[in-house]
Amino acid sequence: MAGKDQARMAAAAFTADDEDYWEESAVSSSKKNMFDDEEEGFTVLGVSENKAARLSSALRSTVGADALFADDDNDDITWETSSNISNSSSHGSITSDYRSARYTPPTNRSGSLSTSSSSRSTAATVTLDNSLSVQFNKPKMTRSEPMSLEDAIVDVPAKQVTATEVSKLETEIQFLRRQVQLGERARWTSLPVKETIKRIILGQPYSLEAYKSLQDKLALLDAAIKMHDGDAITITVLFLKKTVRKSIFQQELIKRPVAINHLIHFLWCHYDLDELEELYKMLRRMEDVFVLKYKQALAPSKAAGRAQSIAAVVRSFQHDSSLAPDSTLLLEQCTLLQRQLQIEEEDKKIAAGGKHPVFKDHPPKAQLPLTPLTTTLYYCSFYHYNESDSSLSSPLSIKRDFQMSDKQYTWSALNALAKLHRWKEIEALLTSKNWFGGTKMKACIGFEKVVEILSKQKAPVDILSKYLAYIEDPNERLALAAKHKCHRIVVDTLIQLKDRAALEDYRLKTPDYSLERQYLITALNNSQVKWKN
Amino acid sequence: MAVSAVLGPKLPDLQYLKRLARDQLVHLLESSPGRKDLVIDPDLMTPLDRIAGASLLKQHGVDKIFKLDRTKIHGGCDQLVYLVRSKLTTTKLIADQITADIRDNRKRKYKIIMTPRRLQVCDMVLEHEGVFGLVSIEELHLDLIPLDRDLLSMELPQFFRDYFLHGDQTWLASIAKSLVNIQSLFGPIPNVYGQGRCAKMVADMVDMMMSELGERQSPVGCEIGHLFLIDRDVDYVTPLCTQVTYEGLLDDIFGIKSGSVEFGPDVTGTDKSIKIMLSGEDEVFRAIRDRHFSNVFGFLSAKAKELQTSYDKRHNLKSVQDMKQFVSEELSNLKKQHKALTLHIGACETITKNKSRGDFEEQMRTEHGLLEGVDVRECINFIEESINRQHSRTEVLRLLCMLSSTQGGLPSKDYKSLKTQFLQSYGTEHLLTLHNLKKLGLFVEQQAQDATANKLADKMAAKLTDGMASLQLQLQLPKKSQFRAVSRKLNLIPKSAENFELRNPNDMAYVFSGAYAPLSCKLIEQVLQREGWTGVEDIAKLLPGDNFVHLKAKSAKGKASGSNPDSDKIVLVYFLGGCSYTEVSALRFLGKQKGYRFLVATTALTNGGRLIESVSGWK
Repeated sequence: MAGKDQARMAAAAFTADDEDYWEESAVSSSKKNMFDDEEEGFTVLGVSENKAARLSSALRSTVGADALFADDDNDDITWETSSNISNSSSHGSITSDYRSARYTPPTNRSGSLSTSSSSRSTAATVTLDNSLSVQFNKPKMTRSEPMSLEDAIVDVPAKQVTATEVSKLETEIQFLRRQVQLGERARWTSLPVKETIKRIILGQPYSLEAYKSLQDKLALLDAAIKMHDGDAITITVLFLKKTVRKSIFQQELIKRPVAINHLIHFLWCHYDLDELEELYKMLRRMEDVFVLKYKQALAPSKAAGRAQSIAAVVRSFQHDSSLAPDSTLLLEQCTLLQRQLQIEEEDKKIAAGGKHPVFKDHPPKAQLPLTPLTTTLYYCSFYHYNESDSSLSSPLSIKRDFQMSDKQYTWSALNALAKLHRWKEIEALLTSKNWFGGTKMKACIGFEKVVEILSKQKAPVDILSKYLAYIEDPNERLALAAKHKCHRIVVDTLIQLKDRAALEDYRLKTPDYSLERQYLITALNNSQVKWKN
Repeated sequence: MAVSAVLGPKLPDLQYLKRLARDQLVHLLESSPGRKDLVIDPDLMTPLDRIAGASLLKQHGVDKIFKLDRTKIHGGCDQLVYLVRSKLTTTKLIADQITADIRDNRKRKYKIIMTPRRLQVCDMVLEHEGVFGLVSIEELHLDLIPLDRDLLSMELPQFFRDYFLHGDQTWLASIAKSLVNIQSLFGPIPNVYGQGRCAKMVADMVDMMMSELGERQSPVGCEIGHLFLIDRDVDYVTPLCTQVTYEGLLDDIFGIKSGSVEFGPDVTGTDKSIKIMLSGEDEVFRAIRDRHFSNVFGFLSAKAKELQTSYDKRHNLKSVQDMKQFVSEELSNLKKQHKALTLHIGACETITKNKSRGDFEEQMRTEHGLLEGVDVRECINFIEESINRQHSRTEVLRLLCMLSSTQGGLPSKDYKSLKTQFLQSYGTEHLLTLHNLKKLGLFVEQQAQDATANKLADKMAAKLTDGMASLQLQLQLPKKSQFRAVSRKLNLIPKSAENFELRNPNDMAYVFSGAYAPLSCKLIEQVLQREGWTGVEDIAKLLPGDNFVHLKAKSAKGKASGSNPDSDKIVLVYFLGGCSYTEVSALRFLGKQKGYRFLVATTALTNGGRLIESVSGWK
């Protein structure tokens, strides 16, 4: 529902006050409402329009509506003022001084999964001070008052260190030393692939440069895929691409659909469209190549340029039978663009001449080129209705050349003619000859739609009545006739339905002393009708 | 429908999430002292309103606030802070602006705050553009934003396009993380159910992240008993339907953004527009939000009379004391209600006007026909007519997708004819949109049934020689959603559409005028009732993606002392790829019916129009 679309805008812009042409009237207001129907008059979803309006205005008038909304808009969305901001910034903050060689999961006090994004330290350096200082902290009781916070923290009761404890600590030192050495070496060897991917996901520092063997690189990519993170998959697939020969890359990529998706999405976002095209071709995804090329061909904003670039796309795919249906559509688009340009050029001359009545009264407000086919047909029906079908701008030749359906043609032509109040031509449009040279009224879109369009354009009652009479379903005809005040049709239909009571009721709806009232009374007195009531 | 106070188990307080995000934002701003200019991603504007206001930002050192676009950022401070969604295109834009500054010899400090998470690919882009050394990068864990007492949203509408259309899994970690955060606040969720490929991946990632956190000794008990993860492609039909609940209609017609709606002059009856927050805190709104539209106006009308009586009380005030009490206690409350009432009645008016124009009735008949599978030919004719008449493109596409999704694709002849006429009416450029819809499985051609077995075998052989590329193709083709069969098995279409009770509904289908109950919500009902998929395997088999369940044994001593005794009745439903307001209403109804309380989380609130627009290939 977001906004009006281009096609509609363009179409509506051709003539002044054309808006209402595209607006569609309600089909029938008197039909039983599908939801709920206890109100009189028009209801939607069980709510009466009138009633809503009444109540609404009543409410507003109780207190002036302006006054009501003027003050204390406490429900309004504003950049709210909030004073109670706690300065506790600790939540989700960084606790990341544990960079041991052996990977340790972050222990976070606040409970939420914290990531140490701001820490730029490398993955495998070890800081021993944290773990050891606690063990060796001798209580410092030398200082006297005042006791600072720091003193308070280290102020643990003195304890005699036993020999076993010392040896225990020494073993631990040994262990940690080995870890440091391992860690230093580990800087240049690789972490298990799973750990590296985890680091990417958790936003911790990582390095891929140590993965030198193809096996490692693939294991890394597969680990990323297995752990589902798109960021890690993209990073590892780009790493593979950068560090191995193209043929190897392609051969391995093709086995990993998820990796392909991520690479494609990356190339799209990065506007590496040439590379993307190459990738699609390698994967033999010709439909995607086609769509990509078409999208690029739409870049020119001028009709002529766009026609050319689309034609080039059509040419380059002419041998691909699987894309033939879509290629045909593109070819039609080219033809249309060229035709629009030709029509426009001619029309400029005609309009400049100032003789053409339609161009004089309704100068075009928008450009024809780049509008959709249906809009073009409407345009041609509006300005060039009676031209012979050898003319490029004749609506019939457009219908023929683009193989449009009778319905498509009827909608456009009828709308255009109704807008111009050309009732005679509408009659001709809806008249079809039968085999024996006789004529018959026929509307492939249904006469109820014809009436709808005509009434929108304020067609006179006798014109509406003519087409109302062709609506087959008497109840539908009755409803529409009553809505448009075509009294004779109402009377005729009620006679057909043999509904004398309804006819009686309808009497007051006809104007006093009118021919219609007379007609109705005659019908009531008609003794030949077998009334059902 | 219970209008009065909320009954049943108590929901956890979601406002914690808001406070956490706000504190973190403040911390990030304060961590670089001094005045700074702030550039905000347009996508973040409305969501951010729910977390922090401009004045809060100003209190913490922000000088001027800009919207991120292609224009140059001026501003007087020597620090520039970008607050953006972590996206490649956005990062490139920032890099371009920094490069322009360098060219102009302008020196400032740059900080980029990425939300919901810092992406390595974005780092890579900054590195590639040569500006990595000039910026400091932080992350703001803004994931689920509380929009109401029972509604959470990531406000990440692009997730639908990124994941379901492009197969990009970048946001999955953030979704998983949002669940980890929920569990660290409200305790581990013992029972997890899921349907769909994405749901499974998210559940895996949650497990991984939880194990990274290790055993927690936090005193938090378990407040949420069940989690249901569901992929949007399990049920495309529901969000495609025209909404007829009050809140759904507000969203369809006015567009609800991050829980607030803007009413134009036609609603307010003045020449001003008014933006209001829609929430359960508003008594009037709470009473009508979930109702079928036909049942709203009567309520508002009665409420207006009631209000009048209350106002009239002022004439009967006997003493100054009474007067004082009236003015100090009742009047402001009355005024508040009066205002809300006026706006909602105005909105009803606009909705009614909107729906009485055009062929709303025929459209509803078409939708109901499609859902029920009757008079499909007439439905197609209506859609064709709408195309020929160039009615709203989005509306037409929505109906086309509904047609295809309910019928399991279109017969070749209809598909080609509708496609051609669509392109003729709206421009061939929309071939790009149709291509996207085909990829999603939303508008597709039925596979020819008459292909002989031989031909099929040939095809298979050809595919095999194509190697893994065809595997890729198969993965891309979504499993055909067998809507008709699922609908029958889940009883989505009530037997008697006539005389359906819309005022005091006893069937969830009331949310669609008694014509259809949302597939997603009915599925959730079945699985919760059975505590797993046993007994509904034949239904699950027909849905795309796999299902899973992890139940924690009830007898386990894991039940912490602090546990909310009601937790077993609290269910968190997480829609991956968006959910509609109608689905939220349906779940609230289900909760009342079965004694559950539902918390709904989603990547974004969606409706038919937004769903279609989000995958459009041409504007």
